[in-house]
Amino acid sequence: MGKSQFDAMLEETFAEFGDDYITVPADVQKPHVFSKRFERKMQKLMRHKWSLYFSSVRLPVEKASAVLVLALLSLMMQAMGDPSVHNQYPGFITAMHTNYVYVIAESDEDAPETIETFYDLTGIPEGFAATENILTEYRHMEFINPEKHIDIRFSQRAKSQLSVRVNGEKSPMRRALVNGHNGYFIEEPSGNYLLMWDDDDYIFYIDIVFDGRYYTWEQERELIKPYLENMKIVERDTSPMAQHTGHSSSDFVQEILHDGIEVVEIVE
Amino acid sequence: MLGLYFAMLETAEERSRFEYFYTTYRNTLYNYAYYILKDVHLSEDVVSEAFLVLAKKIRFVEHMEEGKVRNYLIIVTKNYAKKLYNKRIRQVSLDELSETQSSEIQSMAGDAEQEVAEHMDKEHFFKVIRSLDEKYADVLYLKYYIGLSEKEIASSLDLKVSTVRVQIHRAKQLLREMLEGEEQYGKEPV
Repeated sequence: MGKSQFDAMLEETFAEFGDDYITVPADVQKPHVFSKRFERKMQKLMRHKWSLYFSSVRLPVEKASAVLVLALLSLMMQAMGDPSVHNQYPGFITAMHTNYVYVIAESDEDAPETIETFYDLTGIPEGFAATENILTEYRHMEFINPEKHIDIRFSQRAKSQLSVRVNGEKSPMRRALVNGHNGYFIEEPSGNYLLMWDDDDYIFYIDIVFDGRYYTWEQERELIKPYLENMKIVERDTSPMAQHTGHSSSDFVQEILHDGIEVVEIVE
Repeated sequence: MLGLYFAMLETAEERSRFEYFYTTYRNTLYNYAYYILKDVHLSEDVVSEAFLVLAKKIRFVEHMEEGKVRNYLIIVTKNYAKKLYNKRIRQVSLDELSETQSSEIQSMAGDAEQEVAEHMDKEHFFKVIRSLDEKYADVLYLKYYIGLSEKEIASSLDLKVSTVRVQIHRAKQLLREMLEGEEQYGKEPV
């Protein structure tokens, strides 16, 4: 009998008795109330997989979709009379007042009320000094290059805390699709541009200021493009597993929210 | 990247199957992990890792009996929980062996295996297998019952392929030695 016969014996034995290899005792089936953090993580993963499925299906008609979006949405927000609520910008509700537009998230029902998953902006070129402020519902990272006078600001905010008041006359807002997520490109009166998007769980902002000069949004867009393409938004592992071991809870899964930030379309 | 795992769940059927196992077995897996770790958050982390592995393997388990999938998930969960437990108590993992060692061991074909196989009672043999250290018994189970390749076992348990190869070899070597010992000294209860 050769070695393969020993293997065959193993196979035959398992075939006969393999069902008994693991017996599940009743006590391991008792219900556990999973934490909200766990539930959100799993729901997010399941949402993610599904959206990826559809995004892969849609890919060939991406251009067509963009044209359709262009046709459907107006160039910019117009100041209107009495406050009125609009949701023509998916994912957000805009309450339009005479001189300003008030933006909140369309729904924060399933989103974390505080920042549970921290995302870091990486891929920043050399020569930038970083600072960070963290609150429970808001965090802000800033990267400053004093020699080139470039200031990159990145924020992550709980959706329930989103409350942006934009000057309706002087701060045009253009809808942007950021890595497939709904967002805005907002021109601030100072001439700065703020890219904001909703990633289901959180609101993210990126704002890059170049030497304090005024640029048109077309110029700004070209200026920030190479920066955005090289940036990654990566989950910071703050799980108990990482805290205990110093290793990621996902040693074999590097969780990257955005690998490069692509503004697919600015809606005119 | 995480997305790659879920990109593999391409159809509604795969999604549905994944969700079925997720809702049906998450409590079971949690309790297995908690039994080892005694920590709620760590146990939940381990459960989420196990389901990530399932997502990656969802096509493989497509036609697998439910019991096999359940046992596969349990083995994956226990493996991650034990790894984490060992890290916490700063034990040195003995799992790592170089490719060289692996290939050397691999070349040592156990001629004695054939001798013990000739006179084997399957039920008793199964008891001997179950008496092995779990890490050895589990790889045998995954290979000979679930039908995973060494590469698939490695990716499921987050081990090197060489480590899996060594564990399988050692498992068989241990089996042989135990059975030879029985022949020499008479059967003892396992």
